[in-house]
Amino acid sequence: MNPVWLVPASLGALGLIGLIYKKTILGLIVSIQLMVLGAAVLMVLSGVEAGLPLEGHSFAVFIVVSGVMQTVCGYALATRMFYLRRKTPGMELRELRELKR
Amino acid sequence: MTLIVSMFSILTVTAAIVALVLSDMRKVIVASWVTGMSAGALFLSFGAEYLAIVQWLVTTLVAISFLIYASLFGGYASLDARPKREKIFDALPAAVIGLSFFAILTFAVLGKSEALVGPAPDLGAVGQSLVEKHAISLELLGFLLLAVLIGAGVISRAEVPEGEESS
Repeated sequence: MNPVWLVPASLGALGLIGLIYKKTILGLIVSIQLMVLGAAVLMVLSGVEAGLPLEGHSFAVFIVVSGVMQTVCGYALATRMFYLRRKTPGMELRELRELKR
Repeated sequence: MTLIVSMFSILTVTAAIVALVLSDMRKVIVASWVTGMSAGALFLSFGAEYLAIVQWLVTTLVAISFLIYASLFGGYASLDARPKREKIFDALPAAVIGLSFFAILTFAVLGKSEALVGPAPDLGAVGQSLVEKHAISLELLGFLLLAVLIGAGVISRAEVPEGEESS
């Protein structure tokens, strides 16, 4: 076996570890990116190994673009959480003020 | 395996480990960028020039957007407030599951051939393959991208205070 086959396995495993362990949104985005990258490398290697490089490249392009989509979704969710984090203490303060009255 | 492929393989995995281990987001972004760039170099080594360029562009744009996001919304600050003991407790199952995943994937590729050389398709052939063989998938991907962009715009809109909604 060519040792380069261990690269997608390592990337996938590291991404999975990060996905389980990391608790911040940016950490999760990086972890998913690692997994997507591993899948893309695996597709390219499989295409070359099977003698169908075009198929491997096409599927890898799809996977890379899917990775871009998840990154966009991740940023959107992170931005939403930022606004919610700013909003929540204000709401709590308002409730406290009403209780005081 | 050629020297260049081994070098970039090691660099890819090392940078990925660094991105996973560090907690400083600025360093994680740089390590993640190095991972993507060296993976692009791996694509180039296996004749996927088009994919390599796409990967480099995507990785760089994602890294820049990380920096912009972190500067705007304070993403550099560590938001992981778990105590050290809890972090170690969380790391154990993650490591076990990740290593199992690695073992399964390694077992799956055990029988693969040593030689990884073949004719490198040119850009025209890749484009023709995408349009002719995977036309529906390509259309679906474009539609999904549009939907994601619209959805992301809706989700990430700024919160308007209740009193200012009518004005």
